[in-house]
Amino acid sequence: MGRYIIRRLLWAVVVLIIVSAVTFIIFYALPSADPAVLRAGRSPNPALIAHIRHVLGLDRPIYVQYWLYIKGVLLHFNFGYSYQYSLPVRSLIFQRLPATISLTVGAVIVWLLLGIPVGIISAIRPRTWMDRMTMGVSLLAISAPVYWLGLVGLFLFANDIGVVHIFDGADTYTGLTANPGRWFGSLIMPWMVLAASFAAFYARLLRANLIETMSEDYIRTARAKGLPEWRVILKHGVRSAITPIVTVLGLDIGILMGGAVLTETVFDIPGVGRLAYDGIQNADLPIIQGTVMLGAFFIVIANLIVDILYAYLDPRVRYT
Amino acid sequence: MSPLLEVEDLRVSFDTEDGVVHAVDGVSYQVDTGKTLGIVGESGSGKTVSSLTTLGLTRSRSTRISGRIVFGGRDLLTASTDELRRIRGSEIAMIFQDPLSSLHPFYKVGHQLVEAIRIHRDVSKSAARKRAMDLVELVGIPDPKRRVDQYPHEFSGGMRQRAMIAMALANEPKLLIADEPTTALDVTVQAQILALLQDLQDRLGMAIIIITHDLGVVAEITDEICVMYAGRIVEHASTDEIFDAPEHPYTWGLLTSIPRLDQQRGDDLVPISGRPPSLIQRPSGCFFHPRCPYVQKRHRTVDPPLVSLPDNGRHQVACLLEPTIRRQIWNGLKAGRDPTSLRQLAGDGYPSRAPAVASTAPRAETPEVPSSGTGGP
Amino acid sequence: MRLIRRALIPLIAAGCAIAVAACGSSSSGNTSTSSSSSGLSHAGLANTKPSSSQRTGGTLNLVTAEGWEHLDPGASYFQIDYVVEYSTQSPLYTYTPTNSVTPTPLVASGPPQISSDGKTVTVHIKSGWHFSPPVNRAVTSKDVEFAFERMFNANVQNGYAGGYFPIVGAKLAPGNRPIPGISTPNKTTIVFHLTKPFGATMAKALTLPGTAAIPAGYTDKADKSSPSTWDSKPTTQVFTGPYMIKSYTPGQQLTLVRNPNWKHSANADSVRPAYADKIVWNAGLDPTVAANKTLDSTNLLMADTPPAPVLKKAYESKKKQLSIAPLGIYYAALNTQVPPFNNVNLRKAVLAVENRNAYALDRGGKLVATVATHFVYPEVPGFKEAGGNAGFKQDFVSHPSGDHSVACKYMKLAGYPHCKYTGSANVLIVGSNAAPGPQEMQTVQSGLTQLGFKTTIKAVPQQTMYSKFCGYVKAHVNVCPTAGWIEDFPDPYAALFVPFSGEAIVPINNSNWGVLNDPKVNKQIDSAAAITNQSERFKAFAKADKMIVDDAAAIPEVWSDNAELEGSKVRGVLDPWNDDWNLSFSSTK
Repeated sequence: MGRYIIRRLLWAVVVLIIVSAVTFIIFYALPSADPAVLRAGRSPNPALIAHIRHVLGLDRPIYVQYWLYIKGVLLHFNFGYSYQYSLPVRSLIFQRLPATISLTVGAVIVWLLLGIPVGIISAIRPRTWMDRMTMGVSLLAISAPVYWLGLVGLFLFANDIGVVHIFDGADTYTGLTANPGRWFGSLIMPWMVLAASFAAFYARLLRANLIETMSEDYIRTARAKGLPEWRVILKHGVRSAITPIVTVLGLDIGILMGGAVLTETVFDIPGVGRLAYDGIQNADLPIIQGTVMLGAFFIVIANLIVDILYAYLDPRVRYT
Repeated sequence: MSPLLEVEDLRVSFDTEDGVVHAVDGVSYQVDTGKTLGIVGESGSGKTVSSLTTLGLTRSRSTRISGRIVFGGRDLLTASTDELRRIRGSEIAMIFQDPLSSLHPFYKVGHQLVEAIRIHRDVSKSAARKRAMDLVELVGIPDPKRRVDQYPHEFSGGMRQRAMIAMALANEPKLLIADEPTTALDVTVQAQILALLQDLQDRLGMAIIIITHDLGVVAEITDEICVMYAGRIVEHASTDEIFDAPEHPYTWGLLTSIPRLDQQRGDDLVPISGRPPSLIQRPSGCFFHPRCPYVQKRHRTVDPPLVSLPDNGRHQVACLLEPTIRRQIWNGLKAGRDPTSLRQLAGDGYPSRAPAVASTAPRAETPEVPSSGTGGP
Repeated sequence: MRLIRRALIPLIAAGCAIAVAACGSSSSGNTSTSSSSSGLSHAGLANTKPSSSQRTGGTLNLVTAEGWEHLDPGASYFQIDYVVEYSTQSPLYTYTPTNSVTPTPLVASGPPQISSDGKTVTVHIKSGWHFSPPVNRAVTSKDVEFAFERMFNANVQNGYAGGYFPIVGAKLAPGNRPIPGISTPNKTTIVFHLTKPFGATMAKALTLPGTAAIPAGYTDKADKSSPSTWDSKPTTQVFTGPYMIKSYTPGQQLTLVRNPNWKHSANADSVRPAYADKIVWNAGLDPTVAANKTLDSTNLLMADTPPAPVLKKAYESKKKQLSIAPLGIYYAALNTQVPPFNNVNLRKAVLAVENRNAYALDRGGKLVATVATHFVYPEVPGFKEAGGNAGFKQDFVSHPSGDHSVACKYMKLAGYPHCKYTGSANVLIVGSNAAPGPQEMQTVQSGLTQLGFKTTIKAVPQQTMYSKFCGYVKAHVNVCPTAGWIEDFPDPYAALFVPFSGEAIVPINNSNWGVLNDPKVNKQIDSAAAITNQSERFKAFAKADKMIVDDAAAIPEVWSDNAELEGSKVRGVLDPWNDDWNLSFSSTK
């Protein structure tokens, strides 16, 4: 196991290098705006642009730029300076990570608390009125674009622009340490909006898994043992059916830690996703690189954790 | 004294999207303490459904059950779900065909045994664990101390079935239902498991129902055999009678398809041609007539009742052929003659439509019960 | 000479909805003599001029979808950055909400003295100005000189200094000081020696934020790194305006508090009332959410453009919270250097045939877009001198719906007797892929197709369009139909020089998208720039304007308006020329 983890971690570094290279290539291959021109603001003065190009290192060959970037990351954990804000990307990201973590963790709790019971209830009462209703609602939740859902939520429930004033609206995010009460209040709606499609997806996934699991032979064995039905479902059925969900959950958390762009944007939460979005808007390569690398890092790590967890959850799985 | 288990006119049908599946259609049998009953038939003959119904595992909104299943003086069909649950795993236990899929892959074998014990007995974890190890030892698994802390996938096939048996025996049941207990196992292991069952019955004095599609399996250990076809019992007799003087053409087919040690290599086994009938659209007349080599015109319209032989009240058969003709055909078959050559013995020469694909028809076991007991379709 | 960038994009869609909504109401003609270009009624909209009923104190709240770009006064350029600069810094002169024609002295004690040859500009400054803590001392002419030196420091990355301040010996380089052409004979006097007779125009450019005094030498350390860190940490800056930047999160949040060293007095700031005690500005909101928040609020100003549906809602039910003011011009630049449009008659034909009414609809319809006829647009002083709405009445601009017979006349002059282009050139049209860019490109394309041109449309992001296509001379783009322009300061020079003077052509980031290099136009703009007398000056620029239209360097498409929203209990006051709120004049009610 130890060797497996080390091997995987080394592989993760390779993946991150590849990801950064691809980001670099995409940035230069696609017709995005010229960062130097954007930085200059508007000047028709070529000397200024040349100067900015030089300062940003844009006048060097792409492979040199890339090498300098990777060297900075590997040797100094330095992700460069934002073209736009002239601030170190590392500190920009760390400044914004707490908001993204708050959003993600809360949403994960919400969607698990919603998705798992709904999935179980639907699975053990398939084709009932209740099942059809929850699955119908969940299909809606999955299909609804997050951004749209966020806007609908704001226009219905936000205490500034809502029809009924219930929750804090957009642009109310407060740091946890600054004011825990307001932190919680400001995140209620973002959590629910972000969690909605996940909850629905998890409910449907769990339902499908559980229905399949409940026809397994070992469920019949459990019943033949004389276990009460709730125990058959929870201990024998759900225990198996939930294992694939843990895998998905790990990846989803990994992806969201890299930034929930749409939710952060619609609720104006100063998270990593929002930073990435602004970076793309401004052709701010260092920010794009940094946030993409962060996202890739979380996904790779989440993958590894999921694999390790999987071995723990399913004793048949062993890594060497 | 009344028998331990008495099944009377049991009917089980399932509502499915394709129609009503008549899985069990008027089945009656009894088992006494210390005795072994074999229920034999192909997939879809209703043999598993009837025993799952005994345990209450076929109950669902889409299942209709009628008849009586009297166990130790109680009618299990009218018992509450909770009463049944308390009988399951304690008084009646069941083991299944595929021991790998029947054991939960994520729990240690010992844990699954402990669970089986503690659900019915108020004992401490450590006491249950001790008993689990005793049970593991009882079913002949070496090194129980180590084995209880292993997962099912770390066991061999035979060991898993032993573990299943240990689990079934956890609460010293009065009746053990073994559903195809050896089908998934190697031939040598099959014999060991059967011997183990016999040995355990001798020691613990329980009744056993063995469900199988393979007459050869049950020959050694059963006292009586019910042959089931399309949800009905078509022949019911003592094991000896079934092997020595079988009366139903379907039983003949089963018997002649058993590989024998005295059979010469290269001789073809004679399988029963055709496929088991659909339980939704059942054949008219005798359910077996589409596959019967000796079918006569009236067999297509007349449904034969299960009746005792005139000379042997304990041997029942549901067949429209004359008893004398049946005897002649069986003698011919015993002598190694081909069923087609014996067809004219049956009389009016109404040739059966021999299905072209008969001998190669897939006989894969398909689930006989729609999914689960309470969560069925 | 700011090209219209992000702030405008949402507006456009906005107008469409209004146009539909307001189509039923009758066009009531011009509602004001000054700058209203719209055919629809602006009656009942919010009053955005200062009034006597404004309240002192309290907190002013703002929201935007956009974040800030550069808050270093030396580097600021973007519209909403200006909003911050004009309340935290004090340029030498300023345009005010009530006077966007003549600069009002702010730090300066009186109008600039321009020598008769136009090559020397002398400015005296007031003695009562002080820097904010921790500097606290009085502002001197040395500090103004330092601000100019910074603008020419390449690390500060100022874009306009070279264009508007042609000071002797000033060149863009890192750490370039002192500048020989600036002298400070005493603490309150600063003299600029220019390389050309540019005093009259420079006097107007002395309103730009870059002219705000900075304690001499104070930013040297920050300015050594490139880019200067003075820009990235605005909370550590020194301020001369009524407010100081208290907190700043890029793209998210900005808080302004009162500058304790700022005084409203005759010998310091005699212009800005600075009503609010505190200003809290949140950026990064979804535009729809921000706009609705503003409409439903009591105390909120939205500092960028609301999206269409909310604008419609505001126009229909909350007119008092909506203001509409002229913004700038949209035109389709025709590349005058590359075939086929190196032929002036072909350009005229294209101009004549295009349905500019359709373009105006694409841009938002009558409430916010008026078909343009020339390039000095309504909010620029000198608009009247350039013919106002009617313009110069050339036959090829007089048919806003397009006139095929006029186009035909010019096709014939260009040598295509059957009014069909038969040459081999394929016309490359590049525009913004954000609405209404694609619609506009189609409008332009359909005109071209009528005349037999083969066309290729390339839709790219707005910024890419500027930096890699239309602003990149070697890209040889034939038509840039989604380009827009707003002036840096309200003067025709700022409207005409960069987009149309051959002297302004640069290889990269060019803003003369038609690459027009007409010596007559160049000369006329230069000579107009030297004229101090306002009415003479405007007439001279009108002449340049007419020459540009005669050159058909671009299809003047629409003069565009911008809309602003405010909460019900705020008194937002607009800087008409920047077309955004002036936070030193706005207040709660």
